Amino acid sequence: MNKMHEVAKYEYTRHVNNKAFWITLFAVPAGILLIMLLSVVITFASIDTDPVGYVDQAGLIKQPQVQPEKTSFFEPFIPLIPYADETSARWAAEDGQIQGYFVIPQGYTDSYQLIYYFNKPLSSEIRTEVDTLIRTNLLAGETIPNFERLTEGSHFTQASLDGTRIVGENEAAKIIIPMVVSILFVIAVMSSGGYLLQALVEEKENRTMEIMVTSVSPNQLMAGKIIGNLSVGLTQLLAWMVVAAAVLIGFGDRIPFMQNLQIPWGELILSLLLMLPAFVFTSALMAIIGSTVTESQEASQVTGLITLPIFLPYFFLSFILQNPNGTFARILSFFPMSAPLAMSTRIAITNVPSWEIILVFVIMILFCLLTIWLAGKAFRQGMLQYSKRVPLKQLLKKEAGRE
Amino acid sequence: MQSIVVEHISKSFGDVQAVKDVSFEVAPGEIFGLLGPNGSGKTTSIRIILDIYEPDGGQVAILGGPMDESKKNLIGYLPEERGLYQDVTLEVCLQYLATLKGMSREEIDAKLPAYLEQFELSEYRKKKVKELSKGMQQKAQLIATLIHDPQVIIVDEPFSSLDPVNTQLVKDILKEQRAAGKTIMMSTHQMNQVEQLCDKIILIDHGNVLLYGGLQEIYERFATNQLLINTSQPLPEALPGVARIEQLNTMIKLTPEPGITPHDLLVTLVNQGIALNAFEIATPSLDEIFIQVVQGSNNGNGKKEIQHEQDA
Repeated sequence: MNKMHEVAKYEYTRHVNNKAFWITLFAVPAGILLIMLLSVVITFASIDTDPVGYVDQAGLIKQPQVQPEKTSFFEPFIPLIPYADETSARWAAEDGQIQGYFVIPQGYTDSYQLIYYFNKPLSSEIRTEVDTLIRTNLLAGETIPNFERLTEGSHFTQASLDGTRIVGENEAAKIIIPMVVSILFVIAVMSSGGYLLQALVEEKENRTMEIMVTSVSPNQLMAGKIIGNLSVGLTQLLAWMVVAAAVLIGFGDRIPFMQNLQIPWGELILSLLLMLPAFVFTSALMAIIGSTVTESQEASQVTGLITLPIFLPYFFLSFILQNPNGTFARILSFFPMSAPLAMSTRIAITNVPSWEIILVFVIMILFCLLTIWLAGKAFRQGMLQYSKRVPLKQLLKKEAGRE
Repeated sequence: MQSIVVEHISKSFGDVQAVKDVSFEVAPGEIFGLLGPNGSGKTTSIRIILDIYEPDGGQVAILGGPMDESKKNLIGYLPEERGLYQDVTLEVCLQYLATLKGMSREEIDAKLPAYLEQFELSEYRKKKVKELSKGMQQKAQLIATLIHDPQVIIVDEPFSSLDPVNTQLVKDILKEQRAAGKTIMMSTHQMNQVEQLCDKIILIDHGNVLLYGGLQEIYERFATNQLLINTSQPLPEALPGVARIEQLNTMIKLTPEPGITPHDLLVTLVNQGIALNAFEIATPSLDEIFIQVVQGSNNGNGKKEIQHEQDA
């Protein structure tokens, strides 16, 4: 046990003392934050706050638009300017003073039709301003309790027929959190697996394997390497989660769907449980590759064969979201390598029958046992093969080296 | 008690039989030479002894029984394929390898500086291993082999990449270890080192044992009654009782006729009035014995004789 601890400690400190680790650690959240920030800035920057004109032929507007006390980049304001007639409005539009104008025709309250003449197309922000102006004037003088709340419309809560699952409106977080955590976890599992693979191939490239197996048992060596490299992956994950938590605590109240956040612990824990066998078989598969190939370049080529099926559900996310209990989503959630992402996505958005969840765990555990068995064979056959790759066919045959 | 007992081990890889029925014993306080041409099965035999490979047949007892995890700390191994972690500093690499041999941090801190000093590596301890020369890496590897004070030391080509000064250093260390009662097994091609260090040797080729026994005993077994002499005078073309006269580099080799002893030849030389600078019995070098036995085996007539010798 002590030697396993030493192997794990060495693997961990070796990575943590490496520049590449810190670059990955900071680059990933910094990259995500940068992309998020850029997309928000681009969205707000694209809002045109030039004034919009209107011609009130219906004589509806008695109360003009009220300018808010405070406006900012993130709280834009589009002024609505009244014009006496269409000619002057058109002239102002052609002159570039306004980005367009709309006409409230006579008999508006019969047809509720508006016409918008534009230089630039109608944006949702203009619509909101115009709707607010017209609603306020239509309902002026009426005494309506909770007027603002009324204009928002109803909130929906969805409940499954058996009553086990309830998702309220504006609770996107409930769906997004398990999905995001699963994806982050899979990234952590894959990066840990990548480190493990690298560590094994390096033992071969450095010719240290013979020293290792005459100092430590293969089981201690493997367990130490897996624990050490998993810890590296988990350290990254933890660091990213701390960043995410800091962002939520600092800015959470400004992100609409994060308000009144409720973490769906049940779904989250189930998703994390799915990651355990995923981690085991990923490690075992990486160990198979690491033991059978001879160079890191060759290893990285073969790794794609593992990465692709694991991330497959991510590429077909829209199919799974549209029909989470459909055949395609179910196939993906029962295939052991794509199961962690596919099943956790389904669990997040729909009600997956218990037997399916049990079945996927059984499939994944069997797959873990198979890959561990193969990894053991690969390690024994391939550990001292410095120049020759061990073909898969040979792995499946009776062992020549030890039996 | 013997530290290493190898009994009739054999091992095949596919159709290739790497080791066939090899047996030998190594005792504490002994340097044992494992010799053989390239691809003769030396490394495979070592790997079987260390339980890296399981033999197809036969068995190995090391320190009184089969190899197990607890014995790994009692063995120091310098593999043929040298291996150190290239991307870490020399100190970190050696500390790690020592912890895997069961040493505590305190023990390592107490012993490592002295070893680094002895091998003149102290000033390089903060350098990355990959920045060190081949010879320095070789010395570092020897430190990793010895630092945990193993009972059994198995070294595969310990002198490769070493200059004469460091070769002498390693020889001295191996002699010290022998004096301390350690069991040392050495595989090498350098016959002069074997002659200077080994107490006992085994010679294998194509997985077969060709020669096994104490070094002195083997010399005696292959000794001829030829003589080596050095004289400043020219020798007559023929000498009574001498079948052949060969001029070597600085010496002259005399092969006596059957029935003539070296003593008879000395008397003849003195009687002829030849002033001798040197006179010695021509013992074949280990190199000569090696070539003779391996070639004999390849011609198909050596094996039987040697097997017989081994049984004896």
